[in-house]
Amino acid sequence: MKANVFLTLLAITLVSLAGCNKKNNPAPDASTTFPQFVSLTADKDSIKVGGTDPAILTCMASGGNISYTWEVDLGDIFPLNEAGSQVRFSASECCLGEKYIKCTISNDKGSIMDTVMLYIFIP
Amino acid sequence: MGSMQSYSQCCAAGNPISADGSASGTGKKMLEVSLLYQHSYSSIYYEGQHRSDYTYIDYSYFDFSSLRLSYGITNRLKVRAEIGYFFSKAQYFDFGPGNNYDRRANGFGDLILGVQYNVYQNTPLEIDIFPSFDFTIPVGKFDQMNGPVVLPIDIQPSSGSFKYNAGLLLSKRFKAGKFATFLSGNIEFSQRINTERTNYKYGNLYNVSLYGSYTFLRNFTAALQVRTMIRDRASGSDKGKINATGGTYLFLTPQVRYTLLKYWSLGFLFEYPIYKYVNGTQLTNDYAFSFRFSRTINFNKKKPALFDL
Repeated sequence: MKANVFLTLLAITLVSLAGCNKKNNPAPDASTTFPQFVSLTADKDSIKVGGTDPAILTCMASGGNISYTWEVDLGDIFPLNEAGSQVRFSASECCLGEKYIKCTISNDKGSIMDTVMLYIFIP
Repeated sequence: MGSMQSYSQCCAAGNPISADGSASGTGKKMLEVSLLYQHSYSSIYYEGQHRSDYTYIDYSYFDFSSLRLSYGITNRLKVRAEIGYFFSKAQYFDFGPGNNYDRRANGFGDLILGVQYNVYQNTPLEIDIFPSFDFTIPVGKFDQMNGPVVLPIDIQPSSGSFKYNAGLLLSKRFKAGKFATFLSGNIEFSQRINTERTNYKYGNLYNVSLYGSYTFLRNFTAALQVRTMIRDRASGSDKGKINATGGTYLFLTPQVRYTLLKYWSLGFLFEYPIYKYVNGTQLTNDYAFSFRFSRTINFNKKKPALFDL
């Protein structure tokens, strides 16, 4: 009796897990291709420390259904549009010097990253 | 003493300080369970030792909680573990009209495992010496995002770094414990964070604390702690020192504790920085306060009672 209950629970668990995996790995979208950068630009190459002289970074990408991820080790990035393709970067005094802002674009075919270098200085 | 991580300055993260500066008297087979809630608020920029009119982060705050278990293996040897959780960790930026931004994170912070040993005990003079060692494991979240942006290191719930903390505490009691003084010091070294995204090392941290307490009306304890904290500059990916990190702070911490039914206690403390010296210009802490609820369970008894008188 106990063995039957155990086997039933095991079967339910395996079926559930199989369902979860299927959910997490949807079939590839035929309308998308591997993401490619069209451009990754900043409106300036150096900024003053503080919040009044930000750089605006814009990423244009092809491949369809693109999602954007931005990161930097020190400094502050804020998204400027819903898609996340344009952000604002500024930095406080703890982040002086060269900063590399990384943008990763991804879709169901994969992901690729590129960086933009900005120089932060005290005027 | 408990954990000795620090938050409130630029680029520090992980569990904040949760110790009150005293030594708890957990004996053999005694388990102390403590639940802490802490709120901290920062809005004042300092340049050196003077208040600055610089503005960048308008204000920031966190609401933190931790669960700490402390168990006496022998009457002299105590082990402890603490896990931290941030209900909210937030920063607000005001860059002028139409340029206001905020970001927040939450989740588990760090796990701290520690050991404390009563290496010297003079019962007639009521003097004790306790060396201790704590090891921080960054088990919590270190990759939280604000929409499409990975949040910076200073707002992530976890410090992201393994830390090693060595401490020494001297305890002197008077009049059978009615008055107590504690002098403690500790040094914390952080391991460099070296991940694909982050290459950063927190500055070493040095704390010295003097604590005095007085027990009155049988169940109430009032205490005052004076604590000096020195943090070295952090270093970045090029291993050079980052100028606007680290500094020296002096905190005044009045606190009160109420003990109920022998094994239950409720404590409150308020931490106020009375002196600050920062390297460069940095956002500094305005104040912090915390509540701690503790229960000691005595496993020496065969049938421990829930409300033991």
